[in-house]
Amino acid sequence: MTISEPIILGLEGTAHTAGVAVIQGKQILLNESSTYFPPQGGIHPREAANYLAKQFPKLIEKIFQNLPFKADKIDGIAFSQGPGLGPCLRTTATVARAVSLKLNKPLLGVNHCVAHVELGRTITPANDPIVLYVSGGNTQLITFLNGRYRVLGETLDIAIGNALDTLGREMNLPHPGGPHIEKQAQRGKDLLQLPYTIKGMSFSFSGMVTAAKKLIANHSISDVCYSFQEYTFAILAEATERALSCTKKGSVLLTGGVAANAHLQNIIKEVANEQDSSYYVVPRNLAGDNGVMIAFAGTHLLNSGDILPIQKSQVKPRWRTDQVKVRWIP
Amino acid sequence: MDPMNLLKKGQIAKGAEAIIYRGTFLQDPIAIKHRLPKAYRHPDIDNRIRLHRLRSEAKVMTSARKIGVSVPCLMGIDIQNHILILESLEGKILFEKMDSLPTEKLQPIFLKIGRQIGLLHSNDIIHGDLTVFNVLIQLEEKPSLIDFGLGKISNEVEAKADDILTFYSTLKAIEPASKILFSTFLEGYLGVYPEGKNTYEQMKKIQSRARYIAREDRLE
Repeated sequence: MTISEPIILGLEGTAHTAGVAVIQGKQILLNESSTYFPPQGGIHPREAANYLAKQFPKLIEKIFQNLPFKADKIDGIAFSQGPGLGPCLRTTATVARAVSLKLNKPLLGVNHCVAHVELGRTITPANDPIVLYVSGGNTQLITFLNGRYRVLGETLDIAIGNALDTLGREMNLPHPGGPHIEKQAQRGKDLLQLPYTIKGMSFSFSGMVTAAKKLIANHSISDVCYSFQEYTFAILAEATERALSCTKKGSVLLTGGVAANAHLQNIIKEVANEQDSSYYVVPRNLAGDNGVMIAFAGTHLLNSGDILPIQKSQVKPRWRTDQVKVRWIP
Repeated sequence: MDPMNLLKKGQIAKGAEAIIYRGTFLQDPIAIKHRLPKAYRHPDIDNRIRLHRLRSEAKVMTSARKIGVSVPCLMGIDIQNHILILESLEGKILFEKMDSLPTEKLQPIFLKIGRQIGLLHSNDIIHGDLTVFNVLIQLEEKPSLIDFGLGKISNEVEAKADDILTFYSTLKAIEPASKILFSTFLEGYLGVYPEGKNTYEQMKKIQSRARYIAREDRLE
C-alpha cells in the first residue's frame, strides 16, 4: 500500500485576490477565490488588505463546510509569504497562523512566484521548462538551474499586466485593463510605431506606456491597444526565444494572470515552434492568483521538510524568486 | 564577386534570431548568419528589427575590431537577404566554460573580459546583449565577443551601465560565485576605463529601479 499524498490548505493573498483551496497530490479538491476591483484607479494596498480581511473568513468557512473529510485530515497550511503588497501579505499571514494554530498543523511559507511555476509543473506535462511568468505584479523568465529557480530575464521597471492596466486607465477602460485591451486590439488595424526595448533577456515597459499614452489623442483606441500588444508581446516572445535557445531546455510554460491572453498564447506557441520546443500554458481559470498554486507549492515544502515555525513567519514583501532553495527538485 | 557562390554550405546551428551556416571562403572557415523572419511578430516590426540589427551588428563589430577588441571579422553583408558573412571562430561559449572550470581558473578569464568591455566602452561602443552566452572563449582562454545585433554607438552612461548590468544578471542567474567573478570583471573594466566608475554607479541605480532587489544581491 502506498502512503496517501498530503492534503494541503493553500491561502493566497499578495495583492487583490483572496484565494483558499484544498488539494491532495495533483488533485484539486476545493477552490474558492474572490478578487477586489477598485471602483476607480488602481489597487491601493490598504484597501486591498481590508478587502482580504473581509473575504478570508467567508471563503474559509465555505471551504470548511464543503470539506469531504474532517479538518484534522489536513496535513499543512500553506500561505503566500511574499512577494507582494505588505498590508495584504500581513493579513494573509495572520489568517494562516490562526488556522495553523487552531488545527495544530504545520505552517508552510510559499513564494508566490515559485507557486505560479509549481502550478504549471503540477497540472501541465511541463517538467523542466523555461517559464514565462506574466502578471500584474511580475514579469520574469524563470528556469531551474543549480538548485534554484533562476531569473534569466525580467522587467526592469513595471510588470506587463501593470503596463496594460495603466494604459487601460488612460483610455478609461475598466480595471483590470488587460482583458479590455485584448478585446479592443482585435479591432485594431494600423500598427502605430512604439519603442522596442530589450536588453539581453530583460525588458522595460514604462517607456512604452508613456509613448502609447501620447498616441491616444490622435488615434483610435483599438489601434493603440493593437499596437501596444504587438510591440510588448513581440518583446516577451523574443526574450523567451533567447532563453530557449541559450539554455536548450526544450519546453516553455506560460503562467500568471496575463497568460489568459489568447493572443499572447498564440505568440508563445509560435516561439516554441521556432525553437522546436513544446509549449504549455496553465488553464485560464488558474492563470491568475489562486489558492491552488500555493497549496501545490506547499506540498513540495512539506515533503522536503521545509516547515515554517510561527515565530519565523514574518512576511517577505520583496522575496525574490531566486532566493528560494528548491529542495524538491534533484 | 558573389561570396555565396564560393561557399560550401555546412552544418547548421540555430540561434534565437538567426541560423548559422558553416562554410569556407578561400579555405578559411566562415560563418554565414541569416536572420530569418519571425512569424510571431507583426511583419512591420519584424522587418524593422531585422534590418536595424543587421546594420547595427555590421557597424558595431567593425568599430570594435578597429580598436582592437576581439570580435569575428566581418567579411560580407547582404542587406536584402539579411545575411552577414563572418570569420568563424573556434571556441567554447562562456556559459559552457563556466561549467567545467573552478572559480580561481575563471577569474583570469573574467579579468580579460572586463578589459575587453572596458576598451569597448571607452570608445563609446555598446554591446547591447552582454550575456554569458555571447562571450566565446578561444584557445589560451582568450575571450571574444559575438552577437552585436543589439549593439550601438553611444556615449550615454545608461547604455554602458545596461551592458554591465546584463552581464551581472546572467552571471548571477547561473553562478554561485557571481560576486567574486563580477568584481574581477570590474577590476579589468576599470583598469582600462577609469571613467567606468560612473558606469558602475549608474548600474546600481538601474538595479534599484527593478522589482524586489534582495539586500544580498545589491552591490556596494
